[in-house]
This record gives sequence, C-alpha cells and structure tokens, in this order.
Amino acid sequence: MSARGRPKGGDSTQTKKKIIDAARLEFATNGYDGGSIMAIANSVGIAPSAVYHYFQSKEKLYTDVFEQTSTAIWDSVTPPQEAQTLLESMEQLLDDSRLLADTLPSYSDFLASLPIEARLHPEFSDLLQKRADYQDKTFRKLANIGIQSGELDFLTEDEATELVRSIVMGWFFERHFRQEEIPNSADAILAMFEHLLNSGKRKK
Amino acid sequence: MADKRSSGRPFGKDSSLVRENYINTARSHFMKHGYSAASLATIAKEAGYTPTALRHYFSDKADLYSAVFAATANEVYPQIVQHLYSPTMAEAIEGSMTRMFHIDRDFPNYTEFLSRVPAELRRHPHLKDRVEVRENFTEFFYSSLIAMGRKTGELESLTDEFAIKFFRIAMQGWIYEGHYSNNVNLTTQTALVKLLQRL
Repeated sequence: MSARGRPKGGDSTQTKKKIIDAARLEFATNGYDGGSIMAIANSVGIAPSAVYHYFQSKEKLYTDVFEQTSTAIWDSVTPPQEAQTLLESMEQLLDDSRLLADTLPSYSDFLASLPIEARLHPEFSDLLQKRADYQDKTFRKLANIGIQSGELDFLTEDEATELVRSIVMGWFFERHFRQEEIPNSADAILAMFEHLLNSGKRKK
Repeated sequence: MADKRSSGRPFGKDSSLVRENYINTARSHFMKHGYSAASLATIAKEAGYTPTALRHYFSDKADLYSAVFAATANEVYPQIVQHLYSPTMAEAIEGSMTRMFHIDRDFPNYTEFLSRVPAELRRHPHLKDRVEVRENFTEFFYSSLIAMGRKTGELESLTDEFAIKFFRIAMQGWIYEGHYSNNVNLTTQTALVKLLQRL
C-alpha cells in the first residue's frame, strides 16, 4: 500500500525524471502557455502539487527541461575529434539529428519551439543565450574543420560559422515544420560539400 | 451633417482604414502572444473598437491571421522578388538578403511575422490552405534564382534540384535562425556570395 503525499528517497530522482519527460512532451506539443501542469501530473500519475514540490513553478520546470534536453542533444551531435572533413562531419551530424528526431521526437520538437517561446516570454531570454552558446561551440568547430580541409578555406572563421549555422538550422527547422525532410535536402547539402572538397583538393 | 455617422458598420474609405488598423494591431498582437494565445476581443480593444465591429471584418481568428499574412506578404514579397531581375545570381542573393535585413530593421514585425508562419502552421494545420501562396512563393523564388545562375554561368556544378534545395535551406535557415535568436546579420550573405564564386 502506498503512502499519501510525495514519494520519498530513491524514488525522488526517478519521479523527477518522469516529470521532465512528461513536461518535455507536453511543452513540445502544446507550447509553454498551453502546457498544463495537470496534464503533466496525470501522465506521471502524481498530484499536480507534487510537480510543484519538485519544480516550484512552471517557469522553473520549463527551464529544467531545457537544460536537460539541450545537454542530451548537443552532446550527441558534437563532431567527433577525428573528423577530417566538413563533408563527413556534416553527414554524421545530419544522421545523428535525424536519428534523434525519429527516436526522441519530443527532444527535437521542444528545442525547435524554444526560440519562439523565448520571444513570447521574455523571462526565458537567458535560455536563448545558452542555446547560442551550445550552437556556437558546435558550429565553430565544424567551420574550422571546413577551413582546414580546404572546403571553406575561402571564408573567415565567422563567415564559415554563420554559413554552417544557416545550413544546419535551415535543414533542422524545415524538417521540424513539415514533420518530414524537404526531399533530397540533406543530399543537396552533402553534394555541395563534396563539390567544395574536390575543388579545394584540385586547387592544392 | 458631415459629422453625423449612421450606426452600423463603417464603409468606403474609412472602412479600409479600419481594416488596416485591425491588421497592424493584430500583427503586433500575434507577435507578442502567438496564434494560440491571441484573442480577438483583446485585439479589438487594442485597436480601439468593439469585438463586434472586428467580427464584421474578420469572421474568426484564422480569418484575421490569413488577412495579416496576406497584407504582410504583399508588402515584403515584391521587395524580395525584384532582386530576381539583377544581372547576376550573386547580386540577386546580395540584394534580396540586404533587402530582408533592411525590412527587418525598419519593420521588424513584418519579417518576424513571416518567419514564424511555418511554426504556427505546424501547430495549427487548418491555417495551411490560407497561406498557400507562401509555399508557391518560396518555390518560385529559389528555382528562379538557380535558373539565373545557370544562365549567367555562375552556377555550373550541382544538379538543378540540389542547387535549389541547397540555397533554399541556407537562405531560409538564415531567416529562421536570425529571427528566432534575435540576431539578424549579413555574415551568411557574405559567405554565400563567396561560396558562389567558388562554384
């Protein structure tokens, strides 16, 4: 027989994780305003007051979902140290991103909707800065791979970073909006880098 | 006599001004609250009218949203399209992106509204057939851009389809990311023009 009130001890981490998972899905589906604490509590099987026990407020819950989701996603799409070309890094990144969107759709959907939520709710504007930091780390790294391999050696580091950002985010958002990729868009990106790689080699 | 207005709906010249006022108020309101949370009653109040008066012009929220879309697209799209008449593809990219940058600076609500349309469509699929022109415009713009690059000889590599998709992804990505992260700048433009010179 279970006791009333909040779960205790070892269960607590488990419950927190369940709440985060349910909240991610709820916010990804219904947005921040439309996201219901009641619905989150129901899907975990606890009382709404228990959600507030762990996360004080809806705002705090949203922020924690962001932190947890960003870490999970960006850690898995960071280019491997051994990547030699932007072509192979890009291929890897598109594959990883596609896999994540298929296996953990609420992660991609949550992150895709975050920037607009942050515009609608100024209290989340610092999340935009954190998001930019995650992005910059990955895109700058990719840019440098491309500059060193010769694929993007005609650009400055900033130009290459912004180009990579626009391409990756363009692909990501188009896929998110339509809930499917624009046909052949990933192949088009790879064909471009393959061409740049070959013409870079020819020049050398 | 001239001052005496009959009761009921306004008409004639006034009527289009009222409509325009609603549309501008609604655009800001949608920007601030998003489609889901937007309220017709509040928009009417912000515009200085009664909800009943607003309903005379727009039957429901979707109707108002599509009117805002049409008014905004009619303002922005022609300014972008005119750059397809540039002598080269590089100049077309340069011109259209610079134009977007300036519209964003002078009328931030216009470009931001347009950049958020696809996100609203995803959440509210019933709005899709109301803004059909958007997809047509996008396809027309990027295929014309690539056709131009072929004609001038600037673009020799990649198949048509890959070239259209690549430039579409990169330029739309620039629009989305710039607006969503509130950091619209022209560095991607410089990079794309240099990239084109490489092709």
